[in-house]
Amino acid sequence: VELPTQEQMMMDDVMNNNCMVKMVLSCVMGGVLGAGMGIFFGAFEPMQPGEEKLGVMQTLRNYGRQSLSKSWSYAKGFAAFGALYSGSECVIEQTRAKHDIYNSAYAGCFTGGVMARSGGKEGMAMGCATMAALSVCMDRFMDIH
Amino acid sequence: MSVNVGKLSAEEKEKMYSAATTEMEYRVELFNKMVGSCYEKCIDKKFKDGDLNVGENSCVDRCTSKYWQTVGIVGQMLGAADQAAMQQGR
Repeated sequence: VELPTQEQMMMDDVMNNNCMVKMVLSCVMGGVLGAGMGIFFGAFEPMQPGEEKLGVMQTLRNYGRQSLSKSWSYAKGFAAFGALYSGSECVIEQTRAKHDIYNSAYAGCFTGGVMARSGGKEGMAMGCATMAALSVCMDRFMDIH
Repeated sequence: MSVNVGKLSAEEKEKMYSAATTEMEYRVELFNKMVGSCYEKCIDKKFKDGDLNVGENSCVDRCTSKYWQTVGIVGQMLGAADQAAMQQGR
């Protein structure tokens, strides 16, 4: 075990303590995850009824087009979710200067509220409560706190 | 403090070295106290992870900044009190 050098401390500062970097990373990872899920779930959609006998290539092309649009919409949703959650958790934790479970709860509430903003006041409250509970459960499960 | 040490007499050298030693001791004491109190106040003792997380980092930042400002203010007050005592003593 040795003291961290100046370089290591600066690198650590940029990667782990910088809220913008964390937000961008979560956004990208959320986008990738959403794309993967879209391609996976695209296989389960019922195909548009077309001519009876489509060749293999044609079927694959239809599937590709459909799952691409689906994965794009999933990717946007997950990227927004990841960016919101990670950014708000980082900012809240820096402001409170404490490390406990309430950071996840507040960040989850903020994310849920923003993602459900088209549902009016009740929708936002429901979204806030649900996301806060979900993020607290996930953090407990992953044993971070 | 850029005095040419060779030109002083033995007595003055002795005084300077002892003053520098005392100053060094005070500084080391200040550093140790600062680190100790900010560690006690800011770091969660459960040690689930080896790296400082964001909350602890900003807590330590703020703790050291406040400690340093306190040191400055108290030092100023002590200096003023000393000066006043010296003025009165004259």
